[in-house]
Amino acid sequence: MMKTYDSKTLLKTFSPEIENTSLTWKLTILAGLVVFLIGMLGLWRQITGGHIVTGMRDNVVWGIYIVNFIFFMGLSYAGALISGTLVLFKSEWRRPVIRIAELITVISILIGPFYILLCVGRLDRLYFLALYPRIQSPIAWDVIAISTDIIGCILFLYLSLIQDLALLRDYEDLRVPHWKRKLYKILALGYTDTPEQRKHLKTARNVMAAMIIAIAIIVYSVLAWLFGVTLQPGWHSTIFGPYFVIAAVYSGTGLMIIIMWIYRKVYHLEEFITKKHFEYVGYLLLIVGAFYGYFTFCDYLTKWYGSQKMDSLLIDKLFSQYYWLFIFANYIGILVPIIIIGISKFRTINSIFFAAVLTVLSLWVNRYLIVVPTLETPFLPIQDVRPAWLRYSATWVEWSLLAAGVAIFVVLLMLASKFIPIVSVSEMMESSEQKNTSKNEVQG
Amino acid sequence: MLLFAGTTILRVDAQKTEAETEFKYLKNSDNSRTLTYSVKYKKDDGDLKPAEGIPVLFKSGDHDVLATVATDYKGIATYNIPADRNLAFENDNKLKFTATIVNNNLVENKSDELSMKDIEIQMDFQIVDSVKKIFFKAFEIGAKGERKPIAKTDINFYVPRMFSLLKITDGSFGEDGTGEIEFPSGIPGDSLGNITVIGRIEENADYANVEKRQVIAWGKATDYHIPRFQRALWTAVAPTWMIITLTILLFGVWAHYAFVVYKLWKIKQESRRDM
Repeated sequence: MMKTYDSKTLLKTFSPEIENTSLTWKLTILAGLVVFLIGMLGLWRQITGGHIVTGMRDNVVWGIYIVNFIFFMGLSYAGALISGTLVLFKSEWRRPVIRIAELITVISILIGPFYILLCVGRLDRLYFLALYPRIQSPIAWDVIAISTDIIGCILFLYLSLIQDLALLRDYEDLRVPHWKRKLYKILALGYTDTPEQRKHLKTARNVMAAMIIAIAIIVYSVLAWLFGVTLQPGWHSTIFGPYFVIAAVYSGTGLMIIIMWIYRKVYHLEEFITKKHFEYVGYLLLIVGAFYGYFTFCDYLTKWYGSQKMDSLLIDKLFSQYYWLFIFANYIGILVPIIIIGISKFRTINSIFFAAVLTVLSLWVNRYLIVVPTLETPFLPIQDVRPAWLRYSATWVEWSLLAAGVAIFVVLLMLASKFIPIVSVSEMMESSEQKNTSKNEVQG
Repeated sequence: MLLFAGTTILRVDAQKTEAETEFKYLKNSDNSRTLTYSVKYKKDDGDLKPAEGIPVLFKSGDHDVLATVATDYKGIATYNIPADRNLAFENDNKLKFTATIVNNNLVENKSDELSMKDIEIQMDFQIVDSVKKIFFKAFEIGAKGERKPIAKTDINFYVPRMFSLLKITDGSFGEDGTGEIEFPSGIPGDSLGNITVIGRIEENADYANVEKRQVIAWGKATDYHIPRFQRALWTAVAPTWMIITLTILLFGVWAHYAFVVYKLWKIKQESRRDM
């Protein structure tokens, strides 16, 4: 049974990097920055050499940049859906893990849109999107939706941080620089946990939790429609909206488990993030995985059975040229996690972590298979195109920028741990208070 | 484009890859001539790959150098001989062209040659008893410009379509070097019914490839005006329903954001009241 802790102990436990900087933290930041710099080198190469340095050509105009965009945006929406749902349903077990979901939401949505910019040939004309938007264009929908969502995600995270920021502000023994203490003071908005303030905060948080679920579904559907409304074989599908949403939750749940596992190991949170939490998030992964598998099957079955020429060509390509990637993404990446979590004998913390890693990797590959083989199978082939341009093969520039995105995700996650608790202290205290109250009631 | 393929004379160079080549000739409608030389080589896996950047020397006869042209990314070197270029005839009253792969590091040196008689096709479009007909004739042209009708030779007729040539009919020259075909009706032309008709002698052992093009208003006039479908979204202003939906959605979301910011303001106000 979980022990009862005071706020200072919880703050110390859940804010391991705020006062002191560990060697692990420094090394991780250093490694992340090195990878990021390699990515910047790739970006410089692309800016000076043009898009010819990437694998994108006339046929395959989107490559792994757009794959990364969908992937990171998916992680963000998943974080939003999970954290929003957990807040609304007041799940007691959410408390140690909800901060992870919130951080995934905000960090992913800050990284994802940059990949769109990498696809744009004329970045100097980017402001045209704001000056001359065409409401009819799914691209305009996406720009409006994502910018709205970014604000919502930051607001939601901020609401959940206010109580912790107030605790950090009031913790006089906290050894932090003056500017950081001042920052806590400003951001805490004078919160002193009066009944009125608590009521306002609770209302605002519930409203945002509901909003963020709705926004996540809408925004990720809009992103799916970028593909779905086009007449490309493999994309023109009514199922793409819900399919993308469910796939996003699948990958986001996987990432949440991975970060839970890492935090637990690195910061010795075994007492707080227990096997129960892994099992509960694992059950979520199992249910979402089953739905995701069902949607995948529906999508491909319909295309295969319809036997339209280009759809058949695409399916043939997926089962020949992309055979192992297809098997990994749509069989191994779905069935193995379901088996691991579904059978109690296999269900350990480490095996759930392994299932989560498979989930995240397979989802990235799934995105790749949605984007690239389709573009390699156009309805109207370009005449006299160089044979080498028909197939897409990502260059080091693109891989380096993918690695840079992952690295900056890790760096931002680590930087967040320098400013805020990695587990919500206020949530944990609330849980402790509730336990004490119920205990007193029983004794009384 | 259908062209004439020639014979191969191979010189072995042990240091380089063996080249697979194809030499083609076409006499165009404006009396210019197109020489095309395709160069491919075998990769280690046995696949044929176009040899890009290989210099090819084109000559007329044995000594008259026309040009040196590098092959493009498809491995093809193309040279157009202008109509007014004087070309020397061989003793058998034929034109002779050679294409030679010259110094390069990739493929062995190699030479191909083609020879053919020079001819000219003429087409005359007439309506006879309400039937549209093409009367055609062709002449061999000698070294001194003398003309002799060709006989017993096949000719194909095409009209260009979006991606390739559509064969509409074929015919042959009689003993007097003339012939006629009936022009099929109902072939779509442009908005005025104009259509380009191409008469072609193809892959002929004596004449190689020769064509004549002529525009005539015998096609079916077509209206290529693309109708604006109701579903189309390229109008200047978005459909009303879309603007209303987007406005409601955005207003709904931002109103909630504003409410949350208001609540944050209230929290701040409460703290001031406590002080």
